Amino acid sequence: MTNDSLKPLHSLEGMPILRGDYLLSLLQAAVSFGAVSDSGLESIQVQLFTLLAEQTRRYTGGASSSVRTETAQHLMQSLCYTISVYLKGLNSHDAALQQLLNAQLPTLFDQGQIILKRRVSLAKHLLQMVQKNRILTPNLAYNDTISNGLPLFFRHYDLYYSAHESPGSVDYPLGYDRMDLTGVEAVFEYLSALRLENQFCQCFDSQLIHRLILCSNPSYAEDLQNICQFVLLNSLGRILCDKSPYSLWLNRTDLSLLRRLFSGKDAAETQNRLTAALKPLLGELHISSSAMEEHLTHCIANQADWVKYCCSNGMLQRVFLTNQ
Amino acid sequence: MFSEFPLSSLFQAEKQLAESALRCNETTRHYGLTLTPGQAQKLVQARTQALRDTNRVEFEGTILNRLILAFCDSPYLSPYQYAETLEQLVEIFYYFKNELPDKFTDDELLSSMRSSFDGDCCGSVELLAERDLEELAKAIRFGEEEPESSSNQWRDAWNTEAERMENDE
Repeated sequence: MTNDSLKPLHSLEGMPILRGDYLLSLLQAAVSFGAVSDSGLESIQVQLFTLLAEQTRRYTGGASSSVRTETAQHLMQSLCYTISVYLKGLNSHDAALQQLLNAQLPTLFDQGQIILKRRVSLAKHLLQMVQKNRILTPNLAYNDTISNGLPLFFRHYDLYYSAHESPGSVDYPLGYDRMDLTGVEAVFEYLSALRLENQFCQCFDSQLIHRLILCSNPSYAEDLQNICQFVLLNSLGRILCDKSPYSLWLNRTDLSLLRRLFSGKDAAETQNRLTAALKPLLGELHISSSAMEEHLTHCIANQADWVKYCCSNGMLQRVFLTNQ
Repeated sequence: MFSEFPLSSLFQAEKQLAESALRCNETTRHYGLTLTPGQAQKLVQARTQALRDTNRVEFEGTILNRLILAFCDSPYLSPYQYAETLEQLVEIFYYFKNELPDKFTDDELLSSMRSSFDGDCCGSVELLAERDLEELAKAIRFGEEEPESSSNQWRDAWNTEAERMENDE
């Protein structure tokens, strides 16, 4: 392959290239914009199939000259995932495409494997942090995910032949989760977010959190319910009422104020109002992490439609929980 | 984008496989068996079709030669039916690769096929496919065949314990 295969006029920066299927998405974008020639594409295909042949030979230990098509597809998905992990790390679609066209695919695959091993190691470390800063709660999904589901991933994850798979059982829902990744990337991102949510919730009394959520959903222990969202909305509500966030509860007067604040606002304005209260909230809690602010901003965006709906239908007490 | 292997490469692969199968004539002619270029081509096509029929993929087309060489000295292969029998054996091979567990290696299957073909089947590919190999697949699926090592392990442990008890007395 040579640089002739890439026509430099067509930049892929800013193109909607999927995180979850990066290699294929990148090539499809490159082909549709004429950034790669037919011969360049065929060269990549041949290299991929050669790599697949070698990987299949390793997989069978050389004891089988053929495999089921599903097995070959599975191995191909794992290969593409591994190469994608390396290409995404370049943080530039153009640079990724250049690598794809000019470097040897086995080299990109080897580099991808190194990154995957590092990611697994970091994810294991994140799990330990999550287990240390876990919230005290009776919620089954939360406890089972941290105690069993996530450790199971690390016991069964096969980064050589099934890098794209996510064994184990991760049932507990986050306040915000793009859910467009698989394999160790998905678990790493999940653990990063869960650690932030735990850290946020640790600013409040665990019994208080428990009583707060019970008020909204008496059976929350058995439900697939995110804990952080309750804490986030009520603490934002208290900030909007010019109160300290720590005691979490709101009263009827607070609810009337919030009703006036959100009445007649569309979802975007509702989101803006809540987001505007986030910085003061984090200031009160002495949290300065930009990652935390970013994650909670996404959590707010996730709740904006629900807040607007409840306000429009006279049900704001289902969003901002009162102890009266 | 990756669902079809580039056709030009596929054609090249079939041509190379046919040439490789023809090179086996150097060995098989000692048993009075040879393939013509046309028969070799047909054999490769039968292999490709069998792979499609069984939904399998082969990246290194080595099983044809191994199959030819595994059966060439069978007393039940005649020059008149040689090519046709090989085509049938290829189909049977891929079919049973699917029926048997993945850990059942190519060598083990070829060995079982040859053993039955020359033995109880007396050269009948129908009996080979419909009786002997079917029984083998059933036996393995229902776990009637235990790996020898596991029964040896328990027997050895029992014997060791019995010996120890004898020495204690």
